[in-house]
Amino acid sequence: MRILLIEDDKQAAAYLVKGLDEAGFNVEHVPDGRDGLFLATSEPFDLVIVDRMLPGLDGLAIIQALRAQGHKTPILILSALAQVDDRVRGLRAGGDDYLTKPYSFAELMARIEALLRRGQAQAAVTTLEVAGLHMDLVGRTVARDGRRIELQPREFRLLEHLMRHAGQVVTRTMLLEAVWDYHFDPQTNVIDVHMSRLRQKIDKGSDKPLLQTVRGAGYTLREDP
Amino acid sequence: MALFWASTAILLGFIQYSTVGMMDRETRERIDLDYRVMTETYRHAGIQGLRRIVDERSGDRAVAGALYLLVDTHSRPLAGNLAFWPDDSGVEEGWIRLAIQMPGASGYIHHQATARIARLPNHYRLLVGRDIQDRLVFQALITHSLLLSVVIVGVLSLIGGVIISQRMLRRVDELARTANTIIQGDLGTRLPVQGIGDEFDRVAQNVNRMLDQIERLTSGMRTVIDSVAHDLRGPLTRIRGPIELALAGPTDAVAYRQALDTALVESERLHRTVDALLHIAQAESGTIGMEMEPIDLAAVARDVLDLYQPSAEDKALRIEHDIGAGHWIRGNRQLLAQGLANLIDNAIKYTPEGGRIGLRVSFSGGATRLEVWDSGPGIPEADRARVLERFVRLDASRTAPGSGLGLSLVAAVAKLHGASLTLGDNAPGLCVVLAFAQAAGAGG
Repeated sequence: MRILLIEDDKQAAAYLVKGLDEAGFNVEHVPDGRDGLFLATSEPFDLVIVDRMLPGLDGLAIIQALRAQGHKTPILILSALAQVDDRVRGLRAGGDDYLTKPYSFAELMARIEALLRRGQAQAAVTTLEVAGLHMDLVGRTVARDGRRIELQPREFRLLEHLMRHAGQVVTRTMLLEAVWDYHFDPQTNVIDVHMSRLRQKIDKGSDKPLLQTVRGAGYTLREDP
Repeated sequence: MALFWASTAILLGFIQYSTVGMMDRETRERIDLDYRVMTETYRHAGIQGLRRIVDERSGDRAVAGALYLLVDTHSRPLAGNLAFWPDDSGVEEGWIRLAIQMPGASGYIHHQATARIARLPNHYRLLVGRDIQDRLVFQALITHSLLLSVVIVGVLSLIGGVIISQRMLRRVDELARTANTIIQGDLGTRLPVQGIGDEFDRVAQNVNRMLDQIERLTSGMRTVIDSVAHDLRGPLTRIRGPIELALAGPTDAVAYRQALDTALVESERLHRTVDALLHIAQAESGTIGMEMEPIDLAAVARDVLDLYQPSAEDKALRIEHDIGAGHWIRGNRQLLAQGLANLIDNAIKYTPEGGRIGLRVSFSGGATRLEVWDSGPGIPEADRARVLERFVRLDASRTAPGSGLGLSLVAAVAKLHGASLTLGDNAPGLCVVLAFAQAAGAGG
């Protein structure tokens, strides 16, 4: 997987390159907006991470230029601008996700994973299946190993998001975005309370828990490794 | 200046035309009338009739200043009050100007007259005219006084202009001097207001109001910076201390890990504080660049309630709600949800187990009202204004979780949406009311 990182903050970039490299990605780093746009149009990448404010060419301008040329590469925007509207502007320009600095590396990794897999799993499905956990999207029913599980609508949506991203780390903010469509940091443990209830329902009485907490990052749905 | 002279010229021209010109026209009309009577008489009653009427009209009971003369083919006068036919005019028929001699206080004096002359059949000639000397004198008088008034007006306006511009310059100087004092840092100074309500006063009053606002914001900012410094120093110290200790101690993976763990947790707290501050700053800076759209407040309330319901249930809190549907206002969905989340979060946090919290969205008194209440300890009336200020937490020890920014953010969101925020007594507990004074269904 090749990732293009357009970021002018040298220290932040070095840390990102190191982390992504250790995670097995092949990272190309460019500190300047113009060079970044040139590289993005001349070489194939699986993902572009672009800083919002750059010397040479603004991050939004790069995204608009790429989209205008028909590039479909997923783009993740990093920004020190935390205002509500900046996020809207970034996504409107053609970005696929928006992460505010300072971010945790775990959050960034989770979002990169989600963006990279987005292209594959968007076929219209009517059922989801993860290790004996079965979800019928049409009948709105869930069963584990054939045993029916009653879920509230909101729990259903949470589980659906986790099942669609099975095996990936899903952070608390990603869940708040996906299920409630809110982008603020809830500050308290509200999401954890929801998750512990969901865990109660799907993992109760099972010796193989599926809903796992990933320390410092969020949750993932998978069989114990 | 050019405009002044042009309009003066037009005005004078108009006065000249309407007075002098009118008098001219009136004289001619009178002469014409006389003339028509004469020629009619001649046609009906012949030369004898004409002589008679000329004699009649130029006799003792003649109209003052009226002139008549009827002469025969040898220019011998037959009737009238003129001594001889004015030959020097060279005009045979139509309008002429002539000089006549009138008896004055000492001998004869010359008067100007205007007259109409005509040839009658059989070589008779007729002159009908008017002495216009008085009129000419009057015209000259008008012209002179007009010219004089122009000169006077010109001089007066020149003097007035100089005085006014001097006064304006003085006041502008005064304003500029005061503005300079303010620029040099004395934000307490205000522009002088004369109290006469002129343009300068209005400008000065507005600038003063602006300065009031700036001063208020600056002092608010100073308080905030102090609090920010305080709230950032804490976590920074807690990050730095363990790292320093770990580095100074022996190489020990466990100690390192502990130090890093602490640093991560504290940097998270720093992040949240900074985030909350940014949101408040954004909300307080107003709607510039902020997307406001029709929002169903009931839907936002339902979302946030849905988000916090399990947390409330975990504390065995009873949730009262009356949300309804379709309470549309113009707003920013993200900020509204965040503000409401803060309110509900507070309600859950401060209400002891087994208590109750509530949420209502309603429309009454011309405003969409959002109410959040709890059965917790409430806030003493004296402290209610203070808790809306940034960073103020009533327990001075700052031990309860949270950045102390929750209600400040709510206040900022309210301000951004033009809503009023009131803290009331729920007896027992706190009741927070946000009233959005927008028309129901605005934009929706």
